[in-house]
Parts: sequence; C-alpha cells; structure tokens
Amino acid sequence: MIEEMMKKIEAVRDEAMKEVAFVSDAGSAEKWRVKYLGRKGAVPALLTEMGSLEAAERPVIGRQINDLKVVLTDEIERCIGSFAKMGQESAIARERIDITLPGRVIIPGNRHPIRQTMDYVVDIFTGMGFSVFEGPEIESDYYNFEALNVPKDHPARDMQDTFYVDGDSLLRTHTSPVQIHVMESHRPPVFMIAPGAVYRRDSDVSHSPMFYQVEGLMVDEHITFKDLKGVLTTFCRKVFGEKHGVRFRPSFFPFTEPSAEVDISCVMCGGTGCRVCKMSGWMEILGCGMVDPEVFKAVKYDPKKLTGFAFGVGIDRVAMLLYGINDIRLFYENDLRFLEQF
Amino acid sequence: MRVSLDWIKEFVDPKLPPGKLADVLTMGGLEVEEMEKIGEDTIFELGITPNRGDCLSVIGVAREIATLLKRNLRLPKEKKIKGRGRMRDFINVSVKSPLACPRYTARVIDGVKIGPSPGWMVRMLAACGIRSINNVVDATNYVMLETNQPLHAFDHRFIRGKRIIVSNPRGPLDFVTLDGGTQKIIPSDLLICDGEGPVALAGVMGGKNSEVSDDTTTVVLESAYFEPSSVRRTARRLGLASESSRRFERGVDPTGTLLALNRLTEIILETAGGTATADWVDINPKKFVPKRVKLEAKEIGRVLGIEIKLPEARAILSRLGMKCGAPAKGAMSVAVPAFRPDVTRQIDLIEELARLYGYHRIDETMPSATIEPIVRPRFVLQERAAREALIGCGLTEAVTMGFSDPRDLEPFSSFLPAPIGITNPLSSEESVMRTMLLSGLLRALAVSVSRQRYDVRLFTAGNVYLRPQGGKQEEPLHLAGVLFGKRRVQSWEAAKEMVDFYDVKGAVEAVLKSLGLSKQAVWQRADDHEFLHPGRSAVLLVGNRRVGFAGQLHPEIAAKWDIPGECFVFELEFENLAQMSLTEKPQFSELSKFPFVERDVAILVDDKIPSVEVLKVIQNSGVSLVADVRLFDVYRGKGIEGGRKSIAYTIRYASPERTLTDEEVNSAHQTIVRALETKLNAVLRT
Ligand SMILES: [Zn+2]
Repeated sequence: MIEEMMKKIEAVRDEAMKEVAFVSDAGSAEKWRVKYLGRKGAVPALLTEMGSLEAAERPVIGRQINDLKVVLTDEIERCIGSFAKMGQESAIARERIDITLPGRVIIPGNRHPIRQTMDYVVDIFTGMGFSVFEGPEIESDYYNFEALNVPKDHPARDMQDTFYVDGDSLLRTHTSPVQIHVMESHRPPVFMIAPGAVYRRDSDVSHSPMFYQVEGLMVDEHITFKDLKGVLTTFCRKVFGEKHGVRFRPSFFPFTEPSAEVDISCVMCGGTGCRVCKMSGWMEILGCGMVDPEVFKAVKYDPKKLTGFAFGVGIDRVAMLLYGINDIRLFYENDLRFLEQF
Repeated sequence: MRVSLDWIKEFVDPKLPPGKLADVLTMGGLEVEEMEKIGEDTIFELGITPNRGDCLSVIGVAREIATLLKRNLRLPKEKKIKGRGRMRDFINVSVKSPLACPRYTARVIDGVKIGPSPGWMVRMLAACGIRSINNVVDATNYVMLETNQPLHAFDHRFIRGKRIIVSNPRGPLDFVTLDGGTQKIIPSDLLICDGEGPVALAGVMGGKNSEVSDDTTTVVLESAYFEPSSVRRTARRLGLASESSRRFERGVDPTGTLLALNRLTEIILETAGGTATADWVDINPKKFVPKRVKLEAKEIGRVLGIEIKLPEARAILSRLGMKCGAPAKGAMSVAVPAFRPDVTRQIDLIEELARLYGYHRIDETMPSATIEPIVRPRFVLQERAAREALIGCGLTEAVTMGFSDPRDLEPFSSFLPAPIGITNPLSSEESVMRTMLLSGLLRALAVSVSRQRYDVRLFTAGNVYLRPQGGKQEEPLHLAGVLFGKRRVQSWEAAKEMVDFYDVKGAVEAVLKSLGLSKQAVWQRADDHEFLHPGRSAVLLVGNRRVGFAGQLHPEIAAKWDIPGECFVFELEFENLAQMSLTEKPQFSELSKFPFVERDVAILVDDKIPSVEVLKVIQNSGVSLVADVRLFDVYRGKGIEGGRKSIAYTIRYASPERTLTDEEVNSAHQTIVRALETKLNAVLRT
C-alpha cells in the first residue's frame, strides 16, 4: 500500500514539475496552482487518500506529501517572482529619453565686470584692515579741490576737467573728498578706502565721463614711504598675480608729496614691449603719495606728528586689464553680448 | 610737450641712446609718453606735471638730464649786444599794476626785414609742434622754447602815442586778439596798453592791432614776468590757453627775464637784421630774493623711512642748483634757485631727494598698526545680498551713467523732483543727473532690442540724485530692474512663454527674501503711477511705507522707447527697504515630531476677489491647526461661469503636541470651507 502511495506522490511531482515549465504568465501560474495546490487540487487529493493507510504508515506518507506541497509552492512563487522581474525590466527597457536635450535650470544672470572688480579690490583692502567709507558725488569745490591743496587759479586744476552743477557744486573728479570728510570726523589713526563713481569731462576709448575709483588713505604716526610701497605692491600682486613686476616712479599730485605713479609689467606682453604698452613693457595702474602737510592742516591734523599715504585706483582701468577690454565705453552701454561674457 | 633730442644736445650730452635716456627721464619724473624718430633726430613727447613748469623748455629738460645723469649743463653764452639809439626816442614804458607785473623788460630793433626763418629754425620749431610764421615771430617762439620765457613782438608803427602802459582797465571793454577773436575784458584782466588802449592781453595773447606783418620795420620786444594766478584767471575765463599763458601760469624764472630778451635780440639781429637800441627798459622794483628752506635730517627719515645724511642730501640738492648751507644740529638751510618756484617747503625738498635718490632704492615694508575692526558703509552687505538674489533670478547686472537725458525722465516727471542740471554737459543726452535708475535701464533695453536681442533681463543698483523743492540734496541708493521678452529662452519646453507681471514681482520678492522682509511686504494696486499699466502694476509697502513699484511699463511709454512688446519694470528705494531689514536675528522654533495632514480646497469665487483675500479668510477662520496654506491653481474659462474663477489651495493641518485625528482635521477643514462660503460667497467645487 505504502509503495503505491509513494508512487502516486512521485507521479504528481513529476507531472507538476513538467507542467510548470509551461507556466508563462500570471494566468497560467494561477491555473497550475489551482490544479495542484488548490482546495480540490492534486496535493490535497493525496491527503484524503491517506485515510486508507495504516496508522503507522500515515506519518511517513504525510511528511512526503507535505514536502511536495512545500516544493511546489516554492516553485510557483519563484516562477511568479521571475515574471514580475521580467515585466519590470521590460518596462524600464522601454523608458528611454533623449539625454541630449538641454537640462532644466534657471540660468543665473551675470555680474557686471566693473562691480566684480570693485568688490574684488574692496575685499583686498578690507582684508588688510582698511575701513570703507562713502561720500556724496555732488560735492563742493572746497572738498573736491581746496581742502586737497588745489587752490582756485592753480594749474593743477587742469589735471581734472570738471563738470559743474548749479551754484558752487560740482561732480566730484575723484573720491578723495571722502578722505577729507572722514579726517574731519575721525581722530587718527585712519585706515580707509573710498569706493565710488567719479566724473571728468572726457570721452574716448580710454576715458568715460563717469568711471569708478577706489581711493585709500592710511594716516598714523610713523607711516612712511616704505609702507606706501609695501601696501601698494602687495595690492598690485594680489590683483595681477604674485610674480607681476611693480615699479614706482616720481609724479605729481597736489594732495601728496612725494607722489608716485605705480606701473605693473604689461599684462599683454609680460614686459617685453608691445603696442598696448607703447613698447615700454609697463602699464600705469595707480597714483599715490605721502599726504601733503597742507591737507593735514585743512583737517586740523598735526603734520608734525602724523604722516600718511594716499592712493587712487581706477577700477575701470583694472577691469580693462584683467578682462582684456579695449574700449571703456562698453562698460556703460550694457549690451548683453558684452555683459554675458563675465 | 614735444622736444627734439638734437636741440637738447646743444646744452647737455646724455651719452646714452634715446631709449635708455627715455627710461632715465621717466623714472626721474619726466614721463616720456611717446618717442618719434624724424631723420637722425628723436622727438620725445613728455608728460610734464603742473609743478614742473621749468621743464616746458629745452634748457629745462637739458638741466633735468644733467641732474639725473650727473652731466654738465652748457648754457648759451651771453652776448653783449651793442646798439644805436635810445629807447626813449622810440617808446616810453611804465607799469601801473606792479603786483600783476613785477618785472617788465623791453627793447626796440629798428630796420628789421621780415621774411622767412632759416631752415634750422623752421626744423626745430616743427619738431616741437610749432608752425613757422616769419623770422621775428619765429624768434620769439624759438627763444621761448629754449628758455621757457614767453616773449612778444609789437609792430612799433601801431603803438599809439609811443607809450606802453602795463595796467588793468577801469571798466569792461572789447579787445580783438591775434587769433581774430573778440574778447570781453574785465578790470581784473591785465593789459598791455598804448596811448589809447590795449595792444596785448598780458601773458596770454597779443592784439590784432599791433601784430607784426610783412612790412614791419621796427619792432618792440617784450619780456616780462606776469603773476601766475592773474594770467590763469584771464586765460581760463576767456578760454584762451596759449603756449605763453601755460608757462606764466606755472611760473617762469623771474631772474631770466632780461636774459631771454637779450637772447631774442641776438637771434632777431641774426635772422631779420636791423639795429637794436643801445639801451633797454628793465622795470624791476622788487629784486628777486631766493627762497631759503630749512631741511632737517630727522624729517627725511620720518617721511621716507630711510636715512639720508645731510652731506648726501647736500650733494643731491646741489645737482639741482640748490645752494646748501653747512649742516648744523641736524639741519641745513637750502637756497632754492629762481627757476624752481614749485619748491617752497621742506616737504618739496624731501620729494626732490626721494626722486633723485631713486624710488626703486627705497625698501617695501608693511606698516605696523593696531588691529581694529573695520567699518563698512550702512547697507553694503544688504546691497550685495540683493544683487546676488537678482542674479539668482536670472537678471544680469548693468551699470548705467549717473547722467541722464532730461527727455528720458519726462514720463516720470510727475513722480519725481526736477533733476539737478549740469552747467557744462558734454551733450544734451547727458545734461542732468538721474532722479531714477529705470530710465537708464530702458535705454540699455532699447540698445539690446536695436541689436536684435529680444530677451532682456537687467538690473542695476546705484545712486539717484535728488534735490526736492525746499529740501536737502540727497543721493539715495536705488535698485531697479527691467524684464522683457521670452521668459525662459534656454528652455525647449517653454521657449515661447513671455515674461509677465509675476516674473517682475517674483524678482522683487527674491530681493525681499534676501533682506528677510518677505512677511512684512504688502502689495497694492499702483493707481497713481501713470507710467505703469494701471491693471498690471503694484506698489510695494513695507511697514506701511511705500518703498517702490513693480509692473508693466505703460504701453505708450514703451512705444516711445521703441520697445516692441510688454516690458516689466521695478524700482525700489533700497535704503528705505534695507533700513527695515536691520531687525533681530530670526529665532529658532522647535521642529515638530508629529505628522501633518493635508486637505485640498477648490472654490468658485467672484473674479474680482484678489487671492490675498481668500488667503486671509483661511488664515483668520479661527482654526489654530493651520500650519501652512499653499495656492496651487487659479483657473478661469471653460466650465467656469463668466465673472467667476476657480481657486484652489492645499491646507496643511498640524499640531506641535500630538498626532491629529481624522475627526479633528475634518472639522477644522469644514470650518474653513464654511468661512469661505459665508464671507466670500464661495461655492465649493467637488
Ligand atoms: Zn606690452
């Protein structure tokens, strides 16, 4: 009896395993499951047949049937799992996009090269401990000229052709008046820069009637020409690179004495001489000097106790050199083809 | 100034090739701006600073070269000219304004023959950029270029009354100068007059009435020292800057007056013939006394940071023609030569020392100073944050001129004070100071459009210049922007979408967020801004104060700028805005540990009800569980009755203390729906 039963179990297993090979989708899997594992399926049918066995034989056969049930359940679950995986894989395989289409971003705007350069220069000086002050662009003759040792009827006034507005007011020709305002209201030491727009009556490829400047002032006891050279050489190298040549040559400004122009080695040719630097190998970058005692007197500082240096950098000029721009007027035209390059 | 190297070599031998000499001059403070080769000669274009008037002459430059290179200066030999006849038989000279004319010398040459100058003189003058006229006039220019002393020759025939009087006129008068211009003379102008009236504008220009011409036979030569500021005032006022006035303004050598007259006489006799008078006039009541300046050794160190001992300083200054006394007690007295009127103070001597010692020989040091926290202008950090916010929104930064065309400001005039005018503008397009930034941006937009650029988003931060009637002049910082054309030109999905009001409002909202002012902002219809589209514009209020506007530029104004389409603009009074951002730091609130529940509500309301009213009803419905309300749809059109709109929100309910039950949320949501129904006559959409 027991052998017969064992044969029947084998037969069900063989048939089920043979048929499972033809299961190809969820529908046929369910049919197969009903046929073998369902309530009226082949495996439960084997269990009912067990009733005809002897009591001692039942556990042996019962275990065999149970094992078969487990094997078949595992088999059909594996099968169903593999269909799901295949389905997903084919779905993923269908999900193809054109990866060459442009990405979806908000493209930020551009910073104006003058403002970038201004922020850059200001940050170099604040990093060295200079405070930042601003002042009015419409100034009095006194602050723009007289307090800076440029009396009326002095030829030094020809150095800066001035725009006048009604009355005694003018458009400041440099940001140096801010130095006077600051010294009038602060006790020394004064370490300051004054960034801002300035105006001169001049217009061509290298002159704009409005342009930007940063002027600076360092006043204390014991400030010397050596310090002027140290601070401004450091500045030039920070802007144009550590290896850049820097030279100081004598010049004249009414508000400083001794005065100097600072040149850097030509950014175009590196100093060998080219058309841009008029074959000299050098480019003028800033003016500076030791504060003239007359300026100290105008702000009631004691020129016997204090010394100091002042300097002025044209931001437009620095930007032109840094970015290789050949016409200053481009800065103020705001053509997007220009602005979007920076 | 242009100067010929061949001419310089008459007075000094540099023993250097021109290129090397140019370097020496540049590093000595006489900048060689350009060099030009003409045949064997080299022409230097020198940038002479206003303090070095003495270098506006060949001898001056030669002296500088001699000083810099330690060479000998060979000055022209003074020739004694024997003449015939006396000055008083030709002319009587007097000076009535001795302050403006401290020295006046004159001499007459009779029997000159006017003609062309010799070739060597024509060549030298041409090299220095001066056109040859005739032998007498050329001689005055030649000696001026050589010595720096401006000179003038009058035709003796036309000196009425045979008198020369140097004086100021009593009242205004008209006078025709050599250039043919009629000058309006006022009493402060110094004149050279004859018996009847002016014959020259002293130190500036001669008169047409006494000009030397082809048939001149007798000339009166003038060499004088005129006060610099007097000459400058006249030359500036009349716009008559001349080679002569340029030199007098900067101060000529008061001891060289007669020397130059003699040199001029010598040269005219050589090139035009004739006979000089045996004597000459030299009115020089106050003899020149050289200025003495004290130089202290410790002062050199205090300014320059280097030690130059007095004997070394003495050696350097002597090369400049300065006469130094013996050093005593760390100081010495220095007598300054007459040709250096710019040197009057100790600091001027220190400058000369530094220049000749060599700037390159002075070390670089970093100053030792006490570290103190730096100060920045108010609002600088806010300005940077706002600029970054706008750049992040895709606006590009522009920088516009402080000037404006008054016509550009016209459309905004009822809104702004009258602009501040410029007395001497370069053009009418730049004749006033801007009172707003927007007009400059519109100009930039118009430029872009004219160059076929149809998507433009620009902003700028800058000062405007206001002088309100009866008020104080101010230069407040503004922030403005303009948006035009395609919204996302780079986007292939939405390439055709155009910017609208909500783009410009969004840009302003980004600025508000950068300033921490999002919650304080209130927008109202801009019904009084006639330059804006009345239906598509708003004013911004922060803390009950108007701080700017945003909206569509009125189509009529856009058309004036040739802007083809809808243009959206904003301008903010940035300082007023930034001022309000100076509040405390935001304070942290606990993060909720409990989940939230979201419910959507879509309602139909009258189209005229602004969305902010719907929001207020939701927020003020008395439901404390509302954590957030977010608009997700506004719809008009198909399926919606005319005059109504559908508006939909997601409401988030949450409690910081517990997880909400379904019942609680349902009841809260019901309360809000009911409030919308009763207060706004809303109909719930399902
Ligand atoms: Zn170069």
